[in-house]
Amino acid sequence: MKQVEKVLVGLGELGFFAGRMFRSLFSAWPDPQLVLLHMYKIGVETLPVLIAVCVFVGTNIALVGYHIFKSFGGQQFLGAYVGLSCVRELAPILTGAMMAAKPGTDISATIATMRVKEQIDALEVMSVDPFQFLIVPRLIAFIFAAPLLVLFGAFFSVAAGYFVAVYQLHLNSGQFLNDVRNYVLLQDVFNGMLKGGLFAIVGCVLSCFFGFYSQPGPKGVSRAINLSVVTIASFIVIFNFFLTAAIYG
Amino acid sequence: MVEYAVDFKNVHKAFGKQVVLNDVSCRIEKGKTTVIVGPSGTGKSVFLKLLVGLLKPDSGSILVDGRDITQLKKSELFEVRKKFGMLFQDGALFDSLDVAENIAFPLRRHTRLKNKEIMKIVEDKLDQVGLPGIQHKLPSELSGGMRKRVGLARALALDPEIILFDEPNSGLDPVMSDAIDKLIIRTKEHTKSTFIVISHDIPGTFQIADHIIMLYKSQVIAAGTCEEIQNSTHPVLVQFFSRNSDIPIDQNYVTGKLDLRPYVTGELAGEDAD
Repeated sequence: MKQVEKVLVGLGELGFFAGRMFRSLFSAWPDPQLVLLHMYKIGVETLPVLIAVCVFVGTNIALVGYHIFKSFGGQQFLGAYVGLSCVRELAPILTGAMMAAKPGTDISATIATMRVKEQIDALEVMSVDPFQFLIVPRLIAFIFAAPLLVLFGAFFSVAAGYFVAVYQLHLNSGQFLNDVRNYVLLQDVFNGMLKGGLFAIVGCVLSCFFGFYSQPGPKGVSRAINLSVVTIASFIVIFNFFLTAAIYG
Repeated sequence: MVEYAVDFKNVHKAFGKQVVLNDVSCRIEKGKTTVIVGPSGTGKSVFLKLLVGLLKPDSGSILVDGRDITQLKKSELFEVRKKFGMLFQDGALFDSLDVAENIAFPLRRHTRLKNKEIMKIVEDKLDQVGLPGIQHKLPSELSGGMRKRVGLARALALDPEIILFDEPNSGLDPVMSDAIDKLIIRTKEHTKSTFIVISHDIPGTFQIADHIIMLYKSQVIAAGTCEEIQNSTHPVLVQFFSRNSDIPIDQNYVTGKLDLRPYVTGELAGEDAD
């Protein structure tokens, strides 16, 4: 019973925290320098790891897809399969996961350490709203960086699938590209970017929340990081199902 | 007529069942150094956090220059907080900023000064705390004493009316501890500010204090000048300032042995500590 109560209290706190975050987002202009700094950290620094993951997921999708389609003679549809699965699903999910793993953990660790070392109290005493200074610039950076990262992720995963299809599996290059062009609509790209954006917002809220309410000491910091990654990763997978169902029926 | 910078009126604060401050009333004179002392866990840090509005009391009022900060909106509270500068226990310097940017932080946030002017103030404040020329060092490259002094320089950056010190001597060797006390005295001579210091350090307390407030079991049990406190025969004060753990300070707990139960605060005070 106590556990249920604890979870409910935690959800309530999360709700209030998210509410304050979004109120702060619209209450004052954020410091543009801070926003740019975090956009660089979140966007540019996440890009290499995202590309690496997307490339290998793209190659794998092409390989696995080829053998499945080949069993009933449908290998000419590999381009559509790789394109749709990467643009609609994998790129947004991988972007969300990489953002949770890299900037997400960084945010949780930074904010939790600042909490433990009384730096957040110091901000408040200096009349600086920690939400305005610490959280809003990161949230804006997440909102702008995530859709762009999804685009990069989708491009590199499809490109990697193309190289495997053409140079390893010896499929026709023109057919693969035509397939991608015919089956992957602009709408799919936008939906993927929208999904990535939503995952990023939720990821940012959760990593800030766990950092902000971290328990004292090193154990508190490590718990904040742990909770942030586990919760965001689980959330993305579950939320993705509902989003896909809502968008594609 | 005596003016008061801070006035606590019947302030009560509890965390769950743990009462940390129980009906605390005290006044802190403007332009003086007041040291708040007391055993660990008697609510000294909570007292400071209530004073700057980081915590809200369950009841009572806290007047800063006559304004009850417990009734203020966030934006009004932020305005009142500009009167304060605070030195945190470990300095609370921002790890990602160098010393200069740490000290410049409140100036960049609350003034429209040019970078050159800000850097001049940074240099002056560093000189004031005896650390010239360390602008480009990172907090991780500083010793505990240096971090505290940089923290003090940052607290002084906006020339606040009230400067708060949360255990400025904690974790320092006796010589550095004395250096910090002398720095507080020197800083006091340069400013007209009100200094409020939380301390455990007995010699340092008598060196820097104009007034002393003693918190014990969540309440103010004594307040007065250094002389009045030193001459007091109150058993708690006698034990605390003689640093003697063998004297039973509370007749309810006479055991003839080392007895730390009275140091448990609030409602738990009446129960066995173990």
